[in-house]
Amino acid sequence: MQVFKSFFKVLRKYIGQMIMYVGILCGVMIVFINVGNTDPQNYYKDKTIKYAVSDEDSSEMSRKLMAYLSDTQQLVDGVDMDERGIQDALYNRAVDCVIRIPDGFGDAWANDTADGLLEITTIPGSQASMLFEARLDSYMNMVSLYKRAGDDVNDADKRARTALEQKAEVDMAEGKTSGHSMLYNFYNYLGWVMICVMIIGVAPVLQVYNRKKLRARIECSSYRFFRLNRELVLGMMFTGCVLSVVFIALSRILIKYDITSARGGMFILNMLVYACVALSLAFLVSKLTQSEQILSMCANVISLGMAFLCGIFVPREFLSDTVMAIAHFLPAYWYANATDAIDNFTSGSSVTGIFVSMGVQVLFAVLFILVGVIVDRYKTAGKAMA
Amino acid sequence: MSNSGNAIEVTNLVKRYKDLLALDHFSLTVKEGEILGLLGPNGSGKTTTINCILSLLTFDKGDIKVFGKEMKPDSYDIKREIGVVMQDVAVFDELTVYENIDYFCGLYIKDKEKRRKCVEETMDFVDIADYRKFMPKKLSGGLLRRLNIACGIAHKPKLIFFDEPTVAVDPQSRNRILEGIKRLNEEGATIVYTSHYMEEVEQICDRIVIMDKGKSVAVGTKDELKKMIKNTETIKVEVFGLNDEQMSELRSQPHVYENEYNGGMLTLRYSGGRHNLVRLMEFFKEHDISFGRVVTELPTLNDVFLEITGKELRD
Amino acid sequence: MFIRDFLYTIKILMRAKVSLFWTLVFPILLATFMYMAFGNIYEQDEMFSNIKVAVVTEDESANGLNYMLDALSDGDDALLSVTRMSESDAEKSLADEEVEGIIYTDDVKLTVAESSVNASILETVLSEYKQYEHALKDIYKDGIGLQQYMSGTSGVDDMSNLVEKISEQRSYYTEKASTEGSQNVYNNYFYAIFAMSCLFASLSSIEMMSNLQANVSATGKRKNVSPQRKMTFVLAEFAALLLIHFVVEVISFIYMSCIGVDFGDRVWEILLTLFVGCFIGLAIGVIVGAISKLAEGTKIGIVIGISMVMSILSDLCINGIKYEIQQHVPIINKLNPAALISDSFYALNVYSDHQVFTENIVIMTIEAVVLIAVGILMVRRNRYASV
Repeated sequence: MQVFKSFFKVLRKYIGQMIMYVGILCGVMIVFINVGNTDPQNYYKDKTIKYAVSDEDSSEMSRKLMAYLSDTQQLVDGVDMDERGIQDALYNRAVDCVIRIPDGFGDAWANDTADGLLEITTIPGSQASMLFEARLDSYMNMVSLYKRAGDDVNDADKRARTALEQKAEVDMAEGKTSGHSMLYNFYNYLGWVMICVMIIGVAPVLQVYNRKKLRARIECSSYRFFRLNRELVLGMMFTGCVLSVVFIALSRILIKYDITSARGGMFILNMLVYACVALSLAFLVSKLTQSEQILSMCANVISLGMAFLCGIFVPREFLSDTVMAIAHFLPAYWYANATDAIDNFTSGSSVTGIFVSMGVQVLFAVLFILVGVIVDRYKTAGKAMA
Repeated sequence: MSNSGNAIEVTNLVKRYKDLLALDHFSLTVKEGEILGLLGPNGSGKTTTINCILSLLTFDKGDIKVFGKEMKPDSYDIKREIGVVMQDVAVFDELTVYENIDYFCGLYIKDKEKRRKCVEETMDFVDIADYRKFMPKKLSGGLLRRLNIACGIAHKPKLIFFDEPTVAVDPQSRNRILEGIKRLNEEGATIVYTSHYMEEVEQICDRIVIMDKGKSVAVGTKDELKKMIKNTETIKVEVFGLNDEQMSELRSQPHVYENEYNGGMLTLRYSGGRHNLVRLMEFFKEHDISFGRVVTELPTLNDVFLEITGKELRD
Repeated sequence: MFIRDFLYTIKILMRAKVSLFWTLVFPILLATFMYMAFGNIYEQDEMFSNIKVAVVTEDESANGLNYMLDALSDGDDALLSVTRMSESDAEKSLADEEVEGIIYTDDVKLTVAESSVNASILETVLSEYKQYEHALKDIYKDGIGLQQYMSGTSGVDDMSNLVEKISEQRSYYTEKASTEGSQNVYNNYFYAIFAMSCLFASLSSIEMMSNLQANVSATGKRKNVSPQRKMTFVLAEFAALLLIHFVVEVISFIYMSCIGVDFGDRVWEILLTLFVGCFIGLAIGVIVGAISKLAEGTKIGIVIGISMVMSILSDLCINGIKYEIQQHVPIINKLNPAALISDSFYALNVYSDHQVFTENIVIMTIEAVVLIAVGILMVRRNRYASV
């Protein structure tokens, strides 16, 4: 078991970087968990718009408006109301709209000349601004209606609010859910981290055994070629298992989800399959390049590229048809496919789709290994010629 | 350059690597115009000495003067006169043979025209001009060594250090390198040559310093060194079936100071005496002992080393 | 000597074709993938285009809501795009995501596929109808001023009049943008690519530092025994690396602009950002490379780790991290070179003045100079404990 042992001695050097990626995954999950619960919902929930407000008028009417907005929409505190603060908050979608109530608004409203006085800074044409503006105008029109009917500000506000409580009935179409479980988020991001960790950690170790002289030495030794490979594969599998256990433990600790449930089990199975894909990819990459620096760029291009194209970082519905078509040729797509299906899995639904996705991943793993072996043959042959 | 006529003067140099005493009050003088050989087994402190002289290494005690001036890391005027050929091949893989020599020569010689001339001459000197456009990766081991040497000597230094330049080089290239070094010396360069091959050192060095465990154990020309020991002749004979009695009889023959019988090979070391071989033959004849190959050797540096340190030079 | 070393270093870098290729291809590939993924997300996810809705009406008799829906789907920038169909067709369309909602006009009901902003807009429209119905009944019940308000009508039952009232609504706001620049938040990803590839330049300065130190490399020994100052080597080779990496970044920039990433039109400032970005990236390599105790592989690991963490903190993978840091611990963003690079792009895009941009550039320059100075001090001592 000399090779097996030396595998881990070499691997030690790269554990720091592997831990870093696992740490990043944890960081992302902690952010997610703190941002809020995104458990899937099958009922309709009204969207509220994040906004900030500055009231320079301070009239009775402006205060009513502010009160209405903060009751129905989501007031965000702590936005600097100077130009730069507003720009930052809007660009980063900390708020969707910033409304300024100018001095004299209350008086103008009383005189029925308040048209266009409120200043909304927003991303013009965005959905959020449309919704916010529609809601703002609903209220203002309703209050104005009651005012014209003879109410004072207080009564008009009160009655307008009662009127605005009239809501159309909204149903969700059957079988549709929106949002994903936290466990899904975890395994979804794993689609990125797994590839990164394996290429960063395992590929350089395999590279060591590719080095011309070292390889010659091992080949000359009494160690049979087959045995060398077998022990390398064992080393890879062991690494994969240890990492998988780490990931499972993390999902248990961070999300406190019951991993022994059918859904949890399927997530884990899917992850194990994906771990094989990642390992075979690491094998292939190790055959393609000899430099450690290039390897890290490779790892990033492959893992980030797949994460973007296969709907791990970007929700799938936003990807164009072309991208989705291309994504079919990437293993992460099938991983994400399965993750998606598992998350929506109910006891009644069929599991065929899930297993097909896993099967395709296995095919990818086999393909990568084959290509790796062919590249290796080709390269060694090339060396022998030289 | 200096009035003392010494290119290098090292006195009482002490260098420690943690627990290991690499140089133990080592002193050395290199005269201008000579080839000085530093001979010693691996780990005896040869390279450490050179690195100290070159101001690459810190040392704990001692003085180093080159051309009569104290050598410091910023002694750029001294460094300008020094050429170094390292044990490791130090060239850029991305530059051609010509470019490599030009790059390193350029660290010493600013003038473009003068440099071009130096580089051309050096390429001829080490006989690598045919490969001027080659990348180092395409060169054979011997050629690579020659390139390595060219990079160190292209600026025509007055003092050149060769640190085991022939390691892992085929015999043909090795001889060429040794001849080259002799020629450089004839052209006026002072040379410090380290090796653990005594044959090389014997072949080219004017004076030899034998090192062991960070100390200088003997200094002199090769003849002086050989006179320092009692051994004058060693005779080796392939012979079978000698018994203890015969061995002690051999030991008591005149001039023999050591005998050894090992695996059918008898080794006798003599100190003085003129007809040692004849006497031995007669002994065999008397006892009716048949024998095979007979070899007689004059003392080598290995014998010198062996006698002084009690161990072989190579192992 | 400076110029010669500079030129030779460039020659060496240009001949290391595999590394050069990857250095160049790395940001370009990532940008391509990201662009493919985000190409239309901004338009599709955030920007409003009329909402496709199926309308199911069983009672064909005059219905105020139908009038209103027609009014709202009329014109070029209409809110809705209405298709009338049977209930079963509507349900199929919704399932196939051809429409975003089904409006049942008979009982003023809405069915949507998911909770989304567009669903809420539909809900608002529909509710508004009910709200006015309520309000007018309310006011009519009071009998106060209704006559003067709804002059010439015959009561709430006249639906077309109700619709008229609704569509007569006034608008109480004016809308403006916060900036002239692009508001596409996905640009952050492209900014972060630049940040990462600038920081990855540190890999080549590590190699440069190795080639300089006698206790690390054989060429370092050669340089040390030569009559040249280390400072000369550092400066000349650093300048060469800076030039090469800057050119690489400029090529990526041109490429990204060509595929359609909107960086704004302050090109000179962007070039300055890229230059300073390479500067700080290389500086990180200088200081890490100066630690002669570490093995080369360890050094590479360290700078890759540093670069990745810093880039992720400036939105390489998940958008919004940088802003959150800005809100809670802004000092991190002011120190993190990746965040500074990406923030410079952002400032050039969004802000009208140069204050933040200048600040970022100055901080990066100071950081880089300090790192390089310390790095040089670390290798300046010319004698080593062991070589």
